[in-house]
Amino acid sequence: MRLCIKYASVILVTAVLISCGRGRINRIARVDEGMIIVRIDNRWNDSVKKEFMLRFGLDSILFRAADEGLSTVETDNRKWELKRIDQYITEATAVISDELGADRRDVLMFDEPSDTLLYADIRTQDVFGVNNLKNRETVAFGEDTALFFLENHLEASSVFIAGTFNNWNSMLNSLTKTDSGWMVKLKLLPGKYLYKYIVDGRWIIDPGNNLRKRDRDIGNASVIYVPDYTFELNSKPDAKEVVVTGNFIQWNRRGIPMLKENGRWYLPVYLRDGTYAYKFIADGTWMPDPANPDVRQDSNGNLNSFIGIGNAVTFTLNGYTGAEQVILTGTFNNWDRNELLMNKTTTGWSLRYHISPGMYEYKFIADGYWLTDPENPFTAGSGSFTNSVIAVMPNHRFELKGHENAREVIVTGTFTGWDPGKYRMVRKGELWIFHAYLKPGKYLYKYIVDGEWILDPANSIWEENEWGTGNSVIWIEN
Amino acid sequence: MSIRRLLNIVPAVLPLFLPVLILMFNGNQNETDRQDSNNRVTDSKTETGNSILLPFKNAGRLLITDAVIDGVTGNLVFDSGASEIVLNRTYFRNHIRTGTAGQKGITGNVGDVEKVHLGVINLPGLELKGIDASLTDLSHIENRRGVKITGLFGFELLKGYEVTIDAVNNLMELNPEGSVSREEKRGKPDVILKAEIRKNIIFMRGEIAGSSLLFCLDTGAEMSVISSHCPKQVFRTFTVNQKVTLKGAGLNTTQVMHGKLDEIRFGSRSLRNFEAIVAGLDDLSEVYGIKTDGMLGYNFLRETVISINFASGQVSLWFNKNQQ
Repeated sequence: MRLCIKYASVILVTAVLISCGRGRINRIARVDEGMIIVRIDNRWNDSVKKEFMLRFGLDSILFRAADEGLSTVETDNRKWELKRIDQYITEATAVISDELGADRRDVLMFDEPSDTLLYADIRTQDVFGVNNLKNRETVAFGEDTALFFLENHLEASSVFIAGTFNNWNSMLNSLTKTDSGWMVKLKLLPGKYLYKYIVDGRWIIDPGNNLRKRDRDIGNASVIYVPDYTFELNSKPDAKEVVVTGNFIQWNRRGIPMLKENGRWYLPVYLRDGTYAYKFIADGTWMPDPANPDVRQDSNGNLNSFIGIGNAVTFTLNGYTGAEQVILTGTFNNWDRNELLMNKTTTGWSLRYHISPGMYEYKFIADGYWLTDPENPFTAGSGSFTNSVIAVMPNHRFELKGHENAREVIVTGTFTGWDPGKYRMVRKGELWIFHAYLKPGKYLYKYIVDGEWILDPANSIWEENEWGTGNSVIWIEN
Repeated sequence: MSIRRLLNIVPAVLPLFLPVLILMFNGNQNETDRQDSNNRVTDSKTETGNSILLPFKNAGRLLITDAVIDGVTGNLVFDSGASEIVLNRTYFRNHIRTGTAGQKGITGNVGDVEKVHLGVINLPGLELKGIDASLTDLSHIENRRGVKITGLFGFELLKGYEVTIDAVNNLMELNPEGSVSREEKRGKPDVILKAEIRKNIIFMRGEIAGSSLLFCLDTGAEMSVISSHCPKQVFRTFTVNQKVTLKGAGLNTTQVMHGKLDEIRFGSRSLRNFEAIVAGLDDLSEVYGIKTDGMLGYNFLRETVISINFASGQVSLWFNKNQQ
């Protein structure tokens, strides 16, 4: 009890001190007749000074000028008049010259990036997801499709659905009226999506879906996971409860409850592309999946079932049959030099590996010797820092016509941080090409032809840049 | 000069002036035709006389709506501070220019503005034809907000409608003027103010610390603005909080003081702890042709539902429940 009182006192005193500090800072600046006036107190400690400078965008020059008793000082693009009020306080006064523009062809916008989920690529954000629908009809899944059903609202004249799958476009996907509600079938890849309905112009969340997410810009939105795998267990028809657990939920002992139908346990889930270990827990008993032959022993001797989700990429290296070991390493495993041991074949080396869609650089290490993939013409970097490049599930092809005599053509942009060494294009017929996977969003880019930066001549969409040379623009849609 | 003498002169000079008169007549007629076709709202998806509900989204504190402009899909920012339609040059470079003019933006000069004539603008529930627009670089909005912005529109597109903005529910109601007022559904407004309308911009009076001030409604402002030249007593109620940075076109940024007003009053109702930035509005006042003391931006819209009736020149306000 005494300890509690002691802690409570400390917290109280701290809170009072903080509030006093803030209050002091709050009262030090005022506006009067087009002037900003700040009161500088020479008793302030460094932390108060720091807060002052941070909040009002000023630097220490003003403090020094006040200390030295100067009457004027120029800092922060303003001329400050200084006036000593008493032995502690100096008032600094400057004209507010922040004139807003004369013609409103622009918005008044804070210089801050939007941290909204509204337009972010959230499809592959989560490793794992499971739906929580009030009934099965709310969203029914088919082969890469989802059938959305909104019950009632029969008096409405139009219903649309908007979400992260269509960039929240409120005009794109209309629903069809049925005798009990509205429905629409959408083609959706596995993943996580946020959505809302628009009933006669009014936004509503899906009343049939219990899973919701709140965001600053969109308020409440419904959440759906388009599943890409169904866990199944047929050998425990009499079990009272079966849950699934695995490395995708950090082997949580409570697991995720499975559903039961005619003695069969099942659970449709979304798992991001990758390789996962899992087990079932039937009435408290842990067991690997009896229907899955891919069972591996971990370092503690436990047997776990394994599944690979998504497209597997087969990396091959022809030759080097005399090597004792070949390792695959790249940006997909943070250039780990031990993890991915390749399998020896009759003609060389091979490894099947599940990777989520994206751009990756990689190399082989044959008995300690690093080499690029001889079969892959796409590269980035130069000299000994040249890496092979692969686009997993590419969704855009950069093409540049002509320039047949160029020695090197690079495509670079906001997707490479404007790295002039990424990515090297390959000549194919009349074109220089490069396959890329780009997440949904806006990208600026340029080609570098033998060192000369050029706009994409085939793309009429470009915007100004600070050098007056422009950047080509592409939007990758969800 | 007597009427008789004038009548004597007319036949003599008529042949000289006839071509001019014909030209003037034709010119006027062309102008009339053009006005008829310009900015005409063709309500293709909703029955005439019904209200149109325009769903909005947010990009930061900006209100945006889907739009397809001559086949270009994207989002338009609803910016009631814009007196005309402004399109992002990035997507409309190939439209035929109908003129140019030098312009200044919110944080400085944004260079020449080209004019274009558009075919069709589709908004949810609305189709607009024969629109004139200007082009400028709006890439800074896209790059800061991560959303495709094809342009800005204000009240110019919505003439002929009573416009109700409900920012909390991301909704705009358009009621053809003369139709049954939506106020019946919403209940009696808390406050009705007289609006002054200049260049498609809405101005209305509010009061701070006993000073009557003129504000323009600016849905394209992420934060309300108080003119740095407001009377002394206004700023006695203003607590400066911090400096914030505004982003304009190109590399332009402006730093301004942000703080809170103790109270801002509209008619019999008031908003307390009202956030605002302090900036000079002299240039803006000059362009509007009226001394503007402030701009009511997104934080004002979050506190009220506002309805503008252009025919009656009235602004109706419904205050959110937590306000006095």
